Amino acid sequence: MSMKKRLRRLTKNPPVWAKRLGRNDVVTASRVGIPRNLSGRPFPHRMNRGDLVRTLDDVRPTLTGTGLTEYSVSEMSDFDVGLLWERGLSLGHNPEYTAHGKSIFIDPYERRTVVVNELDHIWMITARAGNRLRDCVFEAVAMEDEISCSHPFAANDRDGFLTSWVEQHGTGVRLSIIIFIPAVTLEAREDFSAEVERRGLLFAGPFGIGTMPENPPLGGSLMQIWCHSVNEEGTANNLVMMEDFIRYVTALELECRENLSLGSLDIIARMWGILSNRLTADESDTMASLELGLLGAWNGIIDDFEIPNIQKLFYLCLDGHLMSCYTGRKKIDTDIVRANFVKSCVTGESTSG
Amino acid sequence: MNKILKCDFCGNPAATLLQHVVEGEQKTVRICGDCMRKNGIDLTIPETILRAFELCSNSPEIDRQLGEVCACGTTGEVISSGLAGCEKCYDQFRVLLEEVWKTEPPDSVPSGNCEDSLQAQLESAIDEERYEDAAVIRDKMQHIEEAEDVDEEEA
Repeated sequence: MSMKKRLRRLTKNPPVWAKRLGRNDVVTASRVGIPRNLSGRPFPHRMNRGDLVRTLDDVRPTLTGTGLTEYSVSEMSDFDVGLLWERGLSLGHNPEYTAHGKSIFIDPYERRTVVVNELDHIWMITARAGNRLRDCVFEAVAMEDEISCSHPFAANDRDGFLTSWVEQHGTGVRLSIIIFIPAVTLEAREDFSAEVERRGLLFAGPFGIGTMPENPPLGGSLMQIWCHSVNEEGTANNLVMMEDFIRYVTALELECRENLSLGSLDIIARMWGILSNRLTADESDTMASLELGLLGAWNGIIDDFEIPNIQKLFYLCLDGHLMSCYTGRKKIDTDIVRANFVKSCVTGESTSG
Repeated sequence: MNKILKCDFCGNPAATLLQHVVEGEQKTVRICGDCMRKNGIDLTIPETILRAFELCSNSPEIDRQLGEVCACGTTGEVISSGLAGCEKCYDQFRVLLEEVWKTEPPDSVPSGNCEDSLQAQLESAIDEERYEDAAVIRDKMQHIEEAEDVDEEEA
């Protein structure tokens, strides 16, 4: 099967971070990244094209031997690279000097990914839908062990593993989660961001650091939280810290849902009414209404539709909406057909479109 | 990730990196906004920038490493780029990297967890006969347990 077909098949399903959103799911996805360099070679941004290709050739048998399929970046269009980035399968740096000799190796379920010749020779990523950070760590460490058997990593006793970004040396293990907190956002709980900073964690947009949108409706409610401490604390400590944070944010979101103020309830009801009756659909308004609709359904404020249907609709629109925010990709739901589709899903009535 | 450089004057995070060649040697000064104001340094007035170099001089080892080039091609600019080019850079630019690593440590991480905290609140509410509050706290704990149960089932 050609790479193009394999890519289409891969991207037919929703990305890992959008697979799961139940009533009590605050963490929609968990992710672990480990950067490593092969010993005895310059790091990718100091390599020439021939060295990059040789490095890729060296690691390819090991990676494909563990059940990963190769997607060569140099054969991809910008759109395809964007698709993988959107799914959390590429790092998004994609600088000019590593475009050559760069491949992404992915397993069919997108749980394990290895990016070769990005910023470092090897960047291992494990991801799971929902709150599965511990599983991601175990899987990432197992993958690291497997690869290191045939390819020793650059390391020394004093600094640990050596990375291109000098601040990532040490364990290099990066833990992150994607959280969805509409009620915290609606209630404007500023203590939440203060708590994130107090714990030494970082905010990021859904597609990584630097992708936090300024104003779109989901900008404040769907985000990544990163534990960026890779040197001073061990991975086990960081895992405990992140799990403690997950308990905190879950309790806070559920508390906010229960304590939604009268003003918030009014906003939910009003937005939902607009969505149910609209003739045209502006993308931002649609997403804001769907988000509030979910919140209203979870809280029992709106009960005239099936929750699973609205969740499906939410994710159907979410993907395109978020990418259009960051990439300027053409918005597709500003037409009347889209509006009718959303309306029919919400009200349960069939439309002629 | 953005690296945090420390101000050579006060030790707080530095927003500006100044570089200047004096008698063939490159000098570097890291400075924060407060110290720029205090010392009358204005980036639009060259004379005041030179004043920053008079007030603060690099250690000889920093100056030496700033002028070095690693076999991989990386130079002393590793201090501003934060990018090493190979394993050997970690030894060759040791003093410069230690400057980069002088980051502010994160605040202490709280111990205990949310469920413990909620349990304590629940007991306190019952002791004080605030039964309505106790019911709300109990429901919160149930929500968290349900969420964790679903996670375990999925696993």
